[in-house]
Amino acid sequence: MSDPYAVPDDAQAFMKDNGRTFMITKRKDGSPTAHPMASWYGGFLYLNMYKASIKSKNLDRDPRICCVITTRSDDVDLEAAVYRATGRKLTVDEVFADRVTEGLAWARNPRSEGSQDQPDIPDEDKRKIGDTAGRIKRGVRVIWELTANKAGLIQNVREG
Amino acid sequence: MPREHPTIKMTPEELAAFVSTQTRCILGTLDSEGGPWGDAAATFIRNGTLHFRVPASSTSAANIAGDDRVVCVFEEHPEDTGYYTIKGAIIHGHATPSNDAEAKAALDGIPDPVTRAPEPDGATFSVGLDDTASFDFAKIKRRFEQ
Repeated sequence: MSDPYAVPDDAQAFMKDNGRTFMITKRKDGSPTAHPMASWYGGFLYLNMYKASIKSKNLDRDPRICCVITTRSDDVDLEAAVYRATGRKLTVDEVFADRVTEGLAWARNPRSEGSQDQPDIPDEDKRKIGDTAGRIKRGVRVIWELTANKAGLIQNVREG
Repeated sequence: MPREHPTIKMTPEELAAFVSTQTRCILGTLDSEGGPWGDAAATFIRNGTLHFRVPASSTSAANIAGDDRVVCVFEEHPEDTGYYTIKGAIIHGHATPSNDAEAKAALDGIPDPVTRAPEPDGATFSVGLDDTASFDFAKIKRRFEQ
């Protein structure tokens, strides 16, 4: 299972190594907005966010999205990939299927490090930042799977 | 538990001060079909206005010619620093060709984030700071163990 758009190998490798992401969507008035967050690539690009967030609501209304995935904020030289896509909100059953893509394995449970394993989900009162799987199961968080229609390293896609 | 959005916002002064430390942003525009597109741009803030520059031949410049609505986003999270150091600013608005000679001169010395060289012949735009969102995680009071 992988992205039907032929994402160039160099962009795929970059997105696997870098998760710092700016997701650009549209507000209710149709204007663009952007949010910094994390993404995981492997088969498709995945975003994990609160179901009630503006980010998720924007995608519910218009699933068109463009992500810019970059190196760290304090790197002197920016490196980036652009991933223009259509988003689809996954069901809990899809998220916790027995076999999932590497990117989804990361997104549903970062402790898995991309494997099919499902490390234990800690009790709510013992949770730390990043304990996300339980919140997905309870419907508090959702995962969006992004299917690309244009993607590449930024220097290769910047001009039409 | 919702984040403390009302209390972790930057003040307008803090936002301007934060953006003044930055020389590049992620730029969002709309293509001819109304879909979002992303790029990086060189930036300079002066007198309460953000100025940004992209190559004249870029998709972003062409998009702005068709629809001037843009978003410029800044985020800072230095390596080896904690969650509560994260800061960001999101600036929405209508991009207009910049007519600020001082800002344009300043951008002549700031490298384009992608080509890594100044783009004196680039397309330079201005956007106001009237429609912004921001966050400074140092202001979060209810903290999780890291």
